Amino acid sequence: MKNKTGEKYLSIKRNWCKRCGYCVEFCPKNVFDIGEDGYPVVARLEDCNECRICVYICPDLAVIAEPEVEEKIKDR
Amino acid sequence: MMESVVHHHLRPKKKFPHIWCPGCGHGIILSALVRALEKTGRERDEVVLVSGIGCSSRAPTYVDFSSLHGTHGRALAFATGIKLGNPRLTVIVLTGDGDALAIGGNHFIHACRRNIDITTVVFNNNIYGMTGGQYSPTMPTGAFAATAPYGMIEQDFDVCNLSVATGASFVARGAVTNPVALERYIRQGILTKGFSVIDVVEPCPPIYGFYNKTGTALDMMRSIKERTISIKKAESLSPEELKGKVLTGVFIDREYREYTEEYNKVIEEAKRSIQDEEPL
Amino acid sequence: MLFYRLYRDKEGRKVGFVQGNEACVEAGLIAGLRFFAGYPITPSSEIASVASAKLPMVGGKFIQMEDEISSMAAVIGASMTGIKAMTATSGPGFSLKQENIGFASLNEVPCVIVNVQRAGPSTGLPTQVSQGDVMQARWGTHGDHPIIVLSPSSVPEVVELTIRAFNLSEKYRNPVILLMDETVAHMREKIVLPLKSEVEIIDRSITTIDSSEEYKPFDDCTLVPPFSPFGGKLRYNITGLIHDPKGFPTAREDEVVPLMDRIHKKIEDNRDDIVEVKEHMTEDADILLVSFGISVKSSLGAMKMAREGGLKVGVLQLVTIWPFADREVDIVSQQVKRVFVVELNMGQIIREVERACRGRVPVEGINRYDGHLINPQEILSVIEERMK
Repeated sequence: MKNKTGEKYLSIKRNWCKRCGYCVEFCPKNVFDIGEDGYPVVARLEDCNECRICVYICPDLAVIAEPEVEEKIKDR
Repeated sequence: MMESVVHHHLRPKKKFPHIWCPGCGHGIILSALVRALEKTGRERDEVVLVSGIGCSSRAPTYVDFSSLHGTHGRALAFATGIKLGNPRLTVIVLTGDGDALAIGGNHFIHACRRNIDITTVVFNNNIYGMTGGQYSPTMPTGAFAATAPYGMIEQDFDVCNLSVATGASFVARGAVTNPVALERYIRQGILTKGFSVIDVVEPCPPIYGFYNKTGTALDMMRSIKERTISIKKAESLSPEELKGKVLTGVFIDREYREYTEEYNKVIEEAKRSIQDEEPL
Repeated sequence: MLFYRLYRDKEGRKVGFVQGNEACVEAGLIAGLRFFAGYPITPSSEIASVASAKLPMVGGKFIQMEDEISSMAAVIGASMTGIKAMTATSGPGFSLKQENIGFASLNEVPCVIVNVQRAGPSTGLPTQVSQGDVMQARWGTHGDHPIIVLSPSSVPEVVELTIRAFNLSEKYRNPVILLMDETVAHMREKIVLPLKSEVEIIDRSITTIDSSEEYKPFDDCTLVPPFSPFGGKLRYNITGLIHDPKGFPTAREDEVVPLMDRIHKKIEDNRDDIVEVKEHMTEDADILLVSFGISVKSSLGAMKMAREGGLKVGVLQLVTIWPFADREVDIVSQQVKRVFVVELNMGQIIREVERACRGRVPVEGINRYDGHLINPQEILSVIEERMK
């Protein structure tokens, strides 16, 4: 859940996300908020304890924890 | 690498977003399966995913393993041929509750009895989603469906008890609300030499939820979280307290004669028995 | 337990006095059979018994599945790992296998399905002889699909056609149905099994592509796309859904039509290689008996008797039932005055014969559907009656 420089990293792939809200609900550190359009936003990345539950619980595979992955699937 | 395991195994060029409805648990199970596979260290080229028909049976097309999307209910039968044809392969069946236990029920119990080294993950959302919400063999008595407008009057199967009774080597139940445990059960199942069954409790928000007024996808997830209780915890609870609860955890983990190994012994025996044909 | 014994002749060929069912397995092993899945049903059961004894001797696998449907599925699964697979059944079981036969057709999975016909419909007349599954063999599974069907008329032909069934299934990546009947299956005749060096054995062509990204399991550049076994270097998907060349579901017209066209074209364009007939004294014939399977023996008997009485009768034997030998029937029927179609059903292949004859010559059926063979004398009586 880190980028190359060792900073925490999390992103939501909006065109895959179906807005179930599981990431918001299951995050133990309350990292996510629900935006006005219903999509989750990473609001408090600094609180993330890197438990990965958001990645695991996302049924749409839309929570991305690696910048390399984000890059790899950016056109999909 | 270990964070986004599933993303590293997505099938190139396959269209996303996937076909599943918002809040459907199938994606969570698929993701747990890929992590579990990765942890077993099995060679990617030596894995075959086999599925039948239904929403869940579309899962294999999204990930980069060899896969056979078969006919309704027959995933285990195709898988049996694949495993016996090449016992070196890791064969995993992804199937729904209707696929595995109604139309495929006979294959299911016989695969358990045969104890062939196949791992079966039952995507159990208690309903036929793809066809529009008919009752499945795991739908709880009293629940509603497109074909049970007055409520389900049949008894439901307990997948785990059925699997234990019919001879599977490894049987566990997980829930999509606990993907870490789920991944562990699937991994154990794959590593078990014999037939293994992982029953997965998951929601079907737009269809089961619609007929049973169970609220939003999140409400259904919360309900699963409340309903599921580990086998260990359940031991200290009274029958009253256990009412309406669904047990999760490992039901059985036993070593038993595995089919393809037994068949290898048949081959040895048969080769010993060859008698040369007498000349005329 | 085996109920027959093979001996070696001077050249080392295996020789025996065996049933059609037993011969089928012996020939299958020559062709490369290494997997059998089946479910008990008379009159095909000896095939499973012999396979259970013989396959493990050569490192092959036999499994008795829980039903007919799963047997067909297991055969497809095994074939996908690259080995030659077969199942055997009879009418009721053949009905049950149909959905998965369609799966094999669409996914171009080589396999051999033996149907030892017994009288139907339903449980019918267990287990008396019939040839009632001609149309089911062609159209049993739903939807348009390519199929190859061969029918042996004797035990030596069981040997010949079992090998051919495997060869055609491998060559064209298509299920092949060996349409036997109860009499051919249980009758004992002398067979001489060819040495491996004496027969051509065809194995499916394997792709030379070594990257999953590039491999198209249903590549439409060629009529028969090269195969890659599950567990090989390539990862790909197969599905009972109509699929694109990569094997993924599609409903696009420009992908659906080429796939459907190609899988039919690979059979149609090669029909001369697939279609086989045998002509018996047709050169000077005035009367033609068209027949297949065990009814060929009845027809040949009638032919002999008719010739002794001065009637010029010939027999056109359909070795390949499907694709239908319309050109061959067309040509031979042009030389004759009358055509009789001899079959153990209420008239199935006769419609194809009529179609091929295009109304130029009277076509009449000689049928029996009471579970008994047609006696040559019965055929002769009909011929004599009509030729008065």
